Amino acid sequence: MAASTEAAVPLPRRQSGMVRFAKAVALLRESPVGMVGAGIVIAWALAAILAPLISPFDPNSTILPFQKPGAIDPTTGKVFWLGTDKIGRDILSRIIYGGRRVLIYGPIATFCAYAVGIVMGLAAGYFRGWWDSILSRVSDIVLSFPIFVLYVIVISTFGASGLNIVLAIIFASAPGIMRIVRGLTLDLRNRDYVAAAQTRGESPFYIMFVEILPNARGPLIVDACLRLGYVTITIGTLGFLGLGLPPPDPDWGGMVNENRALAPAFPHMIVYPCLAISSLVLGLNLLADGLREISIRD
Amino acid sequence: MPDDARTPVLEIENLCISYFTRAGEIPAVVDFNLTVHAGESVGLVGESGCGKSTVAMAIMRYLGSNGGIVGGSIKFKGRDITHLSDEELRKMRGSEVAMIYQEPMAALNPSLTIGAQLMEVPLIHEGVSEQEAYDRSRQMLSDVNLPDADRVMAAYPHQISGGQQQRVVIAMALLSKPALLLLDEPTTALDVTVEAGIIELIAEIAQKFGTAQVFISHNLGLVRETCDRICVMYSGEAVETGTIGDVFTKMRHPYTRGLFGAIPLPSANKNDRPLVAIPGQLPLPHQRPEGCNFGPRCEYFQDGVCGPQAIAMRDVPGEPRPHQSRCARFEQIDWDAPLGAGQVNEPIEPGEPVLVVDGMRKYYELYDRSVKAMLSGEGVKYVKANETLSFDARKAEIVAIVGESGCGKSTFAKVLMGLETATEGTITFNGDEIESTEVQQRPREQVASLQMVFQNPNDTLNPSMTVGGQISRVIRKFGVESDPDKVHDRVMRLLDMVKLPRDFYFRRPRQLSGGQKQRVGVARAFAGNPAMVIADEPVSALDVSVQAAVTELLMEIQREHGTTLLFISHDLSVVRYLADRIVVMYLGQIMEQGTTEEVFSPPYHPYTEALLSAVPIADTSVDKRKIVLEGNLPSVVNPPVGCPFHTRCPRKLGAICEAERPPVLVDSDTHRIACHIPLESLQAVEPVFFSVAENGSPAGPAAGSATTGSAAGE
Amino acid sequence: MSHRVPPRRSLTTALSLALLLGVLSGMKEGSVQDRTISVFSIATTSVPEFASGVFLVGIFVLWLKWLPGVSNMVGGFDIAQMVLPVAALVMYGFGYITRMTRASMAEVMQTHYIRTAVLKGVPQRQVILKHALRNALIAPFTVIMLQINWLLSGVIVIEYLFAYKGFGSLLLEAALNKDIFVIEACTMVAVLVAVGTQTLADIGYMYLNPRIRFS
Repeated sequence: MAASTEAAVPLPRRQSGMVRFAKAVALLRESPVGMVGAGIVIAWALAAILAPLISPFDPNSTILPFQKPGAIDPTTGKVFWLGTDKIGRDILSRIIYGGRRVLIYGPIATFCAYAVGIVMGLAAGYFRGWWDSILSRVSDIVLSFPIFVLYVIVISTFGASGLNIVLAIIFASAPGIMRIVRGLTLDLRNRDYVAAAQTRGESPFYIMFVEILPNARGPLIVDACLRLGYVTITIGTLGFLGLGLPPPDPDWGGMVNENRALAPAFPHMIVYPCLAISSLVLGLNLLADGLREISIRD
Repeated sequence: MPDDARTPVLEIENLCISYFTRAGEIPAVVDFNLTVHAGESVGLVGESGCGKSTVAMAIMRYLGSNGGIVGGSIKFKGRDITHLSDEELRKMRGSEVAMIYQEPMAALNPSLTIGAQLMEVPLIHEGVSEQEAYDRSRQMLSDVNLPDADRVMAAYPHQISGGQQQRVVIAMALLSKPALLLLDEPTTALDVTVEAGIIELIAEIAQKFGTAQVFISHNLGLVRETCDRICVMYSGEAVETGTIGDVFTKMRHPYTRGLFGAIPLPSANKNDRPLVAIPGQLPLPHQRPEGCNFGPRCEYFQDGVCGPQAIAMRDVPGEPRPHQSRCARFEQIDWDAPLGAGQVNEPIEPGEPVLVVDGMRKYYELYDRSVKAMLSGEGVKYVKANETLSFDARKAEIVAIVGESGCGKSTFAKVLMGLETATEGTITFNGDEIESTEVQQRPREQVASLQMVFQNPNDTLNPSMTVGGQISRVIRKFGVESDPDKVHDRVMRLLDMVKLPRDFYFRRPRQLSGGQKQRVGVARAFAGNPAMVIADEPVSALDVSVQAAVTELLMEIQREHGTTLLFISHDLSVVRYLADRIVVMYLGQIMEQGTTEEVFSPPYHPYTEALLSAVPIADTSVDKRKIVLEGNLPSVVNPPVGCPFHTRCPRKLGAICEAERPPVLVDSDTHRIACHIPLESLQAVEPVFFSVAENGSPAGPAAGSATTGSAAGE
Repeated sequence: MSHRVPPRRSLTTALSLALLLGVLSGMKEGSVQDRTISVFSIATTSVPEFASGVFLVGIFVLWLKWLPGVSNMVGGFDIAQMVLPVAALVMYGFGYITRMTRASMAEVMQTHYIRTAVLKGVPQRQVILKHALRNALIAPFTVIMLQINWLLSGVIVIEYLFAYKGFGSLLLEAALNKDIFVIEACTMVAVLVAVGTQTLADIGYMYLNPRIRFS
């Protein structure tokens, strides 16, 4: 074998974050559906971040009740683009600020649910045996239970607060995530590179988190978008049922609940919050579909 | 009638097929010509991307939404089928032109019974009554030698074995007596002895039914056994066509010669006449060179003659039967010159035993928790994956473990590597007993000293890590080096060792070809200076030309480092080429072990005899006796009592084979056979292989005689 | 508590329609009919139940004035009062089933055994009905069973919205008033339904999938 006389090649550096991000974005461009979805989600995210800058009024200040969309506030001259509610708060501003709540609690809850679900799923799929039996049974039980009954019971027992809602969501979502991760793990653990790691004497933790998990990220990312959509719906519905966060902070579901008695006369008060939720979830669903298209093509 | 007999069943002229992707038009097949007459069998041979399957799909007109025929014509029985309407196509498919697929399990609908799927063919194409459809299907199942046809008719695909499934697919194809049969790698997914049976069946079909056949394969040996003519394809073009005899012995294209040089023919020998890999790589479809596609890899390439103009097929003069080649220089090449650099290697002397396996048993427990089992007291069943294995492997030796599915070779590998522990017996590695230590309890040096190369190149590397990252991890884990610079250096030297460019360090597996990934797998296994490496079918999933390269690489490294190699395979040609000693396993037990010469010549264990007879040989000067085994591999859960092979043994003695475990006959110091037949009778058996003279008559011992049934010795 | 189950007949028709749409769209992946159905199904799975209730009420009650907006059954059982709540309840599940079926059908159409059927000369209609459908419907079937539980929980929202006195509002009131006993009773009912449907699903799945039946 010829000894190489090349000069030592410098140690590789991981590609900079910017380069990898740009590549990911370029990839997304391959799916028009995904682009639209991403656009919607980014629009809402921006709205939530820039809320103080772009919302015309303070969301909690009661100005002039029962205004139809397009009416003008006599004192400031600004337009109530979406009208006001029965107490007099500007609906547009409340929707923009309401987005904050959803876009903070939603991702946090989803992320935590993922952390729990991933650990459970990896353990169930990799160790199998007792771990799998117990975890699968437990998750089957939770999953087959009507979800909202669960939420109602949990929240009414422990009270409605941000933390409790997040915990309830984690409890209800983790089993579903566990199922998916378990399925992926069961499939991936038969690959030769996992066997190679095992025959090297790698610890189970290394194998689960370094060999298996990174290779499961495709389906998990798609599921994450979808799940964020479910969680958004959940937060909205809890608000609608009166089990969400307490007023006066704006909550899309809560807005619908508060104003629904007046709906026949003033439909705008509840239609716009419904549109807000639906559009955000639609964006997430489209994004998920787009990502799935791309990952299949890979 | 005479006119029909002369019209070729299939006539393909100047066929061009392209795929249309967002990246543009990609030509898959260019200027392809083929003629097949009734009763004739033509082999279509090539490696991945050569277009052979595309041609078959084009004949069926099933190219998918992004593929299309862009030029030329396909005439079936004189009719141009490239412009048929959908309805006419539908009538043609399954009744006049039928196809047999590579993976029979995937080709059958899991939710319909076999009978339902079979009966569809006459019901749809001939409008017969259901009763008649049933009877004909049942009859066809017997014709393809499936026992118990009624049971099979009512069964679902997953309830029958792979070989039986393929027979069902063949039956389905033959039910309406097609004029043309397309076979797309029909035996690739099957075990060797099962494959032999299917091949025999396919050869019979041509005679019995007079069908024309197009047999697609990458295996020259199989093509030799089943076909009359051959067409060799490379990168979308046909490069040589002719009769088997002409092309196999008087080839006129460098690629064909390269293929033959790369496969382990019986005349190849790892020391005196090693395999010669074809240099370079298959070109990607959109990066084909101008002029001769094979040019960049051909040592006879001459600018101006071989390119940049396109090369056409030309007749080879002076041959009684048509023989064509796409080589522009075939008259000038000296076809008798030896391939490669005429390298000769010194045979290595093996040293002390590195691995000693003594009476190793591995049983798995199956718990049957049903009420019935509890009542009968048989709650636990044993899967006897490995039953009393005893053999040893010495330093710098290559020991091959040969067997089919269920023989226990993978289980044995797992126990060796520490992924499982033995139930009984001992395994001593470099003096330490390792049969009960799991890999995580083994000392680091021991783990590094016993490593493995895996089978599937696509799965052998973690897709999310770079090549360099993965090898570095192994080096650090084994404690070979810890200083980052030294680790880096060692990775580079390993990449050199497996002949990969150094900048592959940064690449991810998806940017590598199959052969390159397998090389990285080899580098990874050798990262810790192992004393012994287990290679589990390391080249079976690779293209023929790449197989030779990786096999030679493995040989080279093994020679240089004096590593002991435990080579697990079902491919006896490769085994004969590189193994020093062979261990033949069947259903968890060792049937025969000995040096390569001893195992390949009499006395044989009956199973070895059948296994050898099943190996496809691409050398036309060698012929073999045909021994076809009946039945299927028995289930490992309930292995037969006594000799495990007695359910299928053509030389079965009688009751003793069913009742008692066979004794171990000692033929020589190194050669042992486990059989009830007395050694003298086995020694008197004719060899399986014998040479044939040029004109086809056997020159060696007796003419080929088929041995089936229960002949008790010769 | 016995007055809670939504009319079953409308459920089954909604179900069959969803499956049909899913099959139609999965049959020809990427085609116009696929895309239109997909758009529709994605839209319905983006809308939470109370929102779909709101939209439906907006359209059918306020704008078109076809149906009553409140379903408190004051004058006895009235079909017209059931339409909107049921529609709102099943809309989400409808879209979900359609999407699942589509995915399953599209996957089945790519398999080798469908290719075998086509290359055997089986007419397209028979390929879909006899060969593809059986395998494609296995996955959605299990999903449908789970949907029954989803309906039970969605009922809470719908009843609240439409002022219908049923299981959902019972639970909600009990929750808000911290009435432990009622909560417990409701939980038990929910568990019973859950276990029951799970068992049914297991049985049905065994029946549909020959591989499980005979191994």
